[in-house]
Amino acid sequence: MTTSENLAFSIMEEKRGVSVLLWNDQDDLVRALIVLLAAIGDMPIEFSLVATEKHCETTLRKTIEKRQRLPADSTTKDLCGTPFWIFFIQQAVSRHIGPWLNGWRRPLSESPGTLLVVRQADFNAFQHNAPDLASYIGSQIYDASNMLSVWSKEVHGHLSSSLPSAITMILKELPGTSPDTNEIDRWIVANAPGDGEQ
Amino acid sequence: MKEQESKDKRSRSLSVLQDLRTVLGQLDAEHPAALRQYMGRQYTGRTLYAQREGDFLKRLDLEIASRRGKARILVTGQIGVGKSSELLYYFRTKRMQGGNDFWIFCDLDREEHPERCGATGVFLAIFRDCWSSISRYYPVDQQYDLPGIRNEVFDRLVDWLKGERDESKVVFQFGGMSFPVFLNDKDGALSLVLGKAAQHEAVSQPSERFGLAPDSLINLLNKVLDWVTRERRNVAPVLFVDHTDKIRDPLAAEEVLVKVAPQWGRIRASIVVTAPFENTLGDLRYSVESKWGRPLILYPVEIPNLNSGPIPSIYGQIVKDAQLRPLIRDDSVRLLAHYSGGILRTFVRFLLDACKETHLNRHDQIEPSDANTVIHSAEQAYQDYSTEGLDLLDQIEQKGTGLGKAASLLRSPIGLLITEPQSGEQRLKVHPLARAALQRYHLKQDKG
Repeated sequence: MTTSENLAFSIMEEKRGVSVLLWNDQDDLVRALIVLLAAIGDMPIEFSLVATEKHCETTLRKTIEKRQRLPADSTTKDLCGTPFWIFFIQQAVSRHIGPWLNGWRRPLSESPGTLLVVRQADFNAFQHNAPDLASYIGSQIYDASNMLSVWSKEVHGHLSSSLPSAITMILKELPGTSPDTNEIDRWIVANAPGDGEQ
Repeated sequence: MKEQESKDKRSRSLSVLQDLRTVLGQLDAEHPAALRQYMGRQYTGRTLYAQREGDFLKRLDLEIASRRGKARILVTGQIGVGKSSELLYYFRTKRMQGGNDFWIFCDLDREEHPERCGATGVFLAIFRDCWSSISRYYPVDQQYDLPGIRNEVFDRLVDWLKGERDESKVVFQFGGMSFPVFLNDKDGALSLVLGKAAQHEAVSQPSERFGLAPDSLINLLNKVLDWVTRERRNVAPVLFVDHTDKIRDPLAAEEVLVKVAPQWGRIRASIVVTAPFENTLGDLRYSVESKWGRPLILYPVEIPNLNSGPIPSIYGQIVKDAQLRPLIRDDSVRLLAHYSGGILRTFVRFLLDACKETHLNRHDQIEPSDANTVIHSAEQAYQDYSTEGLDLLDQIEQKGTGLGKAASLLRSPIGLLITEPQSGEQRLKVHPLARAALQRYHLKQDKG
């Protein structure tokens, strides 16, 4: 069992690489993202829904090229302000999108890294169509449906009951519905860390 | 020595964030392994190159040396096995040794998208990297006839790519977007055009590509290579073309490896090209071998036994170079090395994940329990096993059948391993991480 805070820790400490967040129910995904964003803090993030090959060829390609243009020996200072990418892969498109992302595995893994949000049922097809990217990902795979509702006091102070509008718009395009803010508020309160917890 | 190690052990701990960061900063599972020092530059933040056993580099060296200027070598091997690391190590070592040979490293991955890159895209990428190496080494305007060659190449590219020229710039249309190239720095302009054209050819749909004939490109490339050959006392350059093995689209791979084989033959240089494993040993095997000869295979490193026996020294070297020596138990190294299947990228990825797991568990050093958690996650994480694939793995494990249809499994990073030949014959093994999936498959079959 793991937590979104563990995922955030991995992203922030490794400072590069590709991780995957699997999901089945949007309810779990929203909770995982709320904790993740709170734990990541003020790291710049760029969100994108990857839904069609056309999108890869045009919009995503421009995003990728920004990171490709950074020299291979960029210093930490050069990379300061380079956004972390969270790409949501639309359901049932892995056969078409996988090869695109596979070809871009290098820029995806460059600092500060990328998180791919993939529906559980599609992950097999995703791995099959992006074998080189799968080898970069290794075991950096987190499952929103297995995540514990546990977080530290520090993260608790940053939790918000709603996600940034860019993500909300993307979630509307994905299957399922998001929980309402009241429900999330109750969940945050119910799982608040106790006094003894760090 | 032991005293120092035990002092280190006392004073460093993966539960301390700073110590964790130090180790994570020394490990990189994505880039090829680096030399500790290269061309006066100290490499940090990369996994350092560790020498493996076996004769891969000797064979490569022999092929290049014995077929001077005419070598055509395909290098293949499992995803993550270390092809790029070995080639880059060889290339850099040779470059540092000097001499008349001129070594050029072309990388299809650089600002590119190799997945379905066709022959023109590959030749443009080669041209881009050849030009950039040559112009960096020989300041173009100080050479007798190189500026003329550069101008001719540039003019031909402008024509082919339908650039619109005025006095100060040429504007190209790539994917419906204007791309101006200014003419005040002609070397830079040529590099830009080659780079952008290579990228366009790789990324755009086949219908939007320029349809440049590989033949014309080879003629131009040869002019540049011939210039180098003359400068190097008639020794032709050696080109390494890496990440061609990432052309996963079967039609594109066939075009690059088989259909344009005559064009490869016409390049006046020795060439070492990486090729996709599933094609060089699968359906395309005989066509590829008839054009290129038998590929040079880089095999996984020896897998240590899970419980006892020696652990090949390369694993210990990687651990030591990452300053992990006092922070990991020997039995944890054994576990991670075993389950990596001898694939070094997997081993480095395991080390990274095990370090973080150890920190979260507040352990000082990587305990077997931390290593097992990481291994278990990796077993669970990889799901790309079809029933047919498991059936093939089962046949290989139970009956020791040959590769045959199972060549398709080589496309997967975790499935089938082809290991160093013994008595001349390659051995097929099920990847240790795939065994859990295979066991589940057996159980299901037994129940059925």
